[in-house]
Amino acid sequence: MADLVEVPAKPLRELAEPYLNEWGPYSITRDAVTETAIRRFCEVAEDGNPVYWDREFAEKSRFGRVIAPPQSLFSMTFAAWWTPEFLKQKTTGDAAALNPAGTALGGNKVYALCDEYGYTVNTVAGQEVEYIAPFGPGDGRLKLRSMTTEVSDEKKVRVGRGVFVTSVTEYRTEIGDRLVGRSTMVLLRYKAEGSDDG
Amino acid sequence: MAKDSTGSETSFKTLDWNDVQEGDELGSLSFPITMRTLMIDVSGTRDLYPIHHDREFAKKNGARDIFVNTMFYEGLFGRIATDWAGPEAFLRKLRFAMKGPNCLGDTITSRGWVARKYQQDGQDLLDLEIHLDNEVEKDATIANLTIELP
Repeated sequence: MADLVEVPAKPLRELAEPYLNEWGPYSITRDAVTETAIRRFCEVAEDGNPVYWDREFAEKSRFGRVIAPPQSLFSMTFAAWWTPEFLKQKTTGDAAALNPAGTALGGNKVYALCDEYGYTVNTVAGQEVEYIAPFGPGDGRLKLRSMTTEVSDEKKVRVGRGVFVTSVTEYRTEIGDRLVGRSTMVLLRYKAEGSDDG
Repeated sequence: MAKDSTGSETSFKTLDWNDVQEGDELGSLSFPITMRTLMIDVSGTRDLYPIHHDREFAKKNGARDIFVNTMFYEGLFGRIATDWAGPEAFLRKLRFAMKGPNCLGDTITSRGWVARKYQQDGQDLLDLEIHLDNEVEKDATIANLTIELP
């Protein structure tokens, strides 16, 4: 079917240019960071650090309170498994309230361009996370927003053909609006060798 | 006195940055990946992608078997750092490369050391390098961390 797809003549990088370095809209997690969520994360790698588990110890520590493992940040923002319709709408409304009219589409637009070029498969090529400040119960939910900072030239890669898209995501607390983390991810968006679907 | 995960007594003391030298070793952790590990991984990190819990799906997609996910590594590397440096050490930076999966039935063995000791923006920092090996592959996962000591 490949011959039925009209490939735009301009390089993808050039088309993506106007959408780079603009923050996309905020989204917000459904749930607040809680002691229960922290404990369930700690169970996974059997992390017994008392600043995550023990109020008495944590209050005397330099953090002054129970904190989440900084490395749980990504997991804490993972999509919920099931949400009743009314709460879904409320969470969407809460996120919309964080985004003034005219907020850029940023990264979403770049990914849509990748799709147009047939680069629909995702794989994480690299990621680095900076943990800027501790977060924990009392900070409410987590807000996040992303921007795309770089799109590579189209390249032939081991698995096919594609582009490397670099994006930055910022994580903030709902209460106090504190910046707690920033991740930089390089995603390979590609079309698999020999695939005829796009 | 409490006990740490290896069963030995711990006073939950945090290291003094001045006492650490580049090249200091973090000690080794052994972590068997059982079906129970992988179930707790799914539940604790909220990751339902089938490659981590559906053996047929994993094998069909070229993996030896189901394997631990990205957030498991985040949790494990953070734990190795604060088990060694103490509870008031704070993870500042983490990146890692997954060169090969750690699958059901494997046992992860960690090695780690202090790669760099420095001060920056008023913070006492250490860069750590941690490697995970399993029975099938050496250096299956390699991580670079920065931690801040109080």
